[in-house]
Amino acid sequence: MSDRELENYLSLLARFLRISPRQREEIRRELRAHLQEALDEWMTRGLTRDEAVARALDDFGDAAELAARFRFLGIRKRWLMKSAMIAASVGLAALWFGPLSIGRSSSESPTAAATRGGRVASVGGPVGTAHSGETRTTPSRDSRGATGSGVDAVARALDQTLASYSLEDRPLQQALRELAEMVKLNIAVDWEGLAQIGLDRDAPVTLILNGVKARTALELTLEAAAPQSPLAYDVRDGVVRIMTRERLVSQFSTRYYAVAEVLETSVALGSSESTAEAAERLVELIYGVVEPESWTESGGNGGAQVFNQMLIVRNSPLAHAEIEELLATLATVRAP
Amino acid sequence: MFARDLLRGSLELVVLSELCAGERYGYQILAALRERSGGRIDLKAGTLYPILHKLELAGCVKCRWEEAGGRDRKWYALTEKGRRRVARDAAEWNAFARCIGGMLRPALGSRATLEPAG
Repeated sequence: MSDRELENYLSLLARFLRISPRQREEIRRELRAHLQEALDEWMTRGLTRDEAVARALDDFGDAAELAARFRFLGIRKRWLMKSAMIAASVGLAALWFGPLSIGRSSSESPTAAATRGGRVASVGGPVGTAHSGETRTTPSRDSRGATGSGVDAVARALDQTLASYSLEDRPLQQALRELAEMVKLNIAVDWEGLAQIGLDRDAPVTLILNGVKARTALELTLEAAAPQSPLAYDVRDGVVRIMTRERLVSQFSTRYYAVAEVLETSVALGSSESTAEAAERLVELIYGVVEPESWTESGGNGGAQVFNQMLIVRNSPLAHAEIEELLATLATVRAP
Repeated sequence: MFARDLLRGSLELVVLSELCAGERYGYQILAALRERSGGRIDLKAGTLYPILHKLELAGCVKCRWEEAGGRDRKWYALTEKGRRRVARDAAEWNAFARCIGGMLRPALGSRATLEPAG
């Protein structure tokens, strides 16, 4: 029973490691050797073999976290494994693997593998990934008056579906270049900023994807390159700019959003008595749900005002992207 | 166990320094670190192996497998590059410690010192 548990743990771990079978086997062999040493020591201290296995696996910790620390994890949802001995009674959560193919080998479904291991506990939340700064339906202008046409071209490019996208230890710079060429995209990377979090052009990326949008491939590539320090991107002037999330949230710019329709809808629905009141409520709404810490009211540097039915906002690309999404969603509400 | 945030920046250096004394396998490294730190550096296997893997990819350590007495072991040894890195990083770490130690002297009072604790 315990030997099987050990092997199951290693198998499940190996599944998370999106690397070559040879490397996977190497890591697996090393971890098995380590577990053996640990078992020997625990049993010398008087534990039964089952108890020793439990302790040893406990010391290893979370399989998904461990795999991530090997810097090869590229799936959106993390799978947490309880290392307790109550394997049989642990319930299985629904597995969602989206458009990704996990590993190369298996014909066996992940659910089956988890059942065999009996250890899957709960679904983690979505892993923080790159944030899209694209415009959706609400037109926006940056402070230099450029329109969103460059952004639409980028959005179209990112919407393209890639039949297959396969990277094995591909240097990050190369991976991004290839992606850019595949969908005719302009990508610029703030390498200096990335160097500050220890990421260089040759950071190896391994991913196997089929039938995903270029946007998804891009986000997962960035995540695979830097699982712990999320990278982000902003779209401006027809160029996808990749930088650290930290920089993304600190580069402030002023953008203008046409909100006449949203304001009028608010009045038509009876939620506001006048467009002036609707404007005030819109700004309050934005302060409350869009990067709440970023506004001067909360000690940040951001500001938002409505003037002549134009929403004028000064904030980071991240906040702007959230505002665009918010306004696009509000625009879908029509008065009866 | 020292606070994670304090340790985080020094882990690779500490692991490399352990290899200065000679070849080691993973389990040995964990035990040695625990002992030499008086128990204050007690790493999990899940922390150590990714570090070793990263150091291997960076060319700072080289490895070989050896099966002896029924045990399968992966031995790690410093490369030339690894040695240079330890020397460089240790010097920088030392400079950092002296600098911060100096700045903290008022907070630490007259007992501020950088001598090893034991």
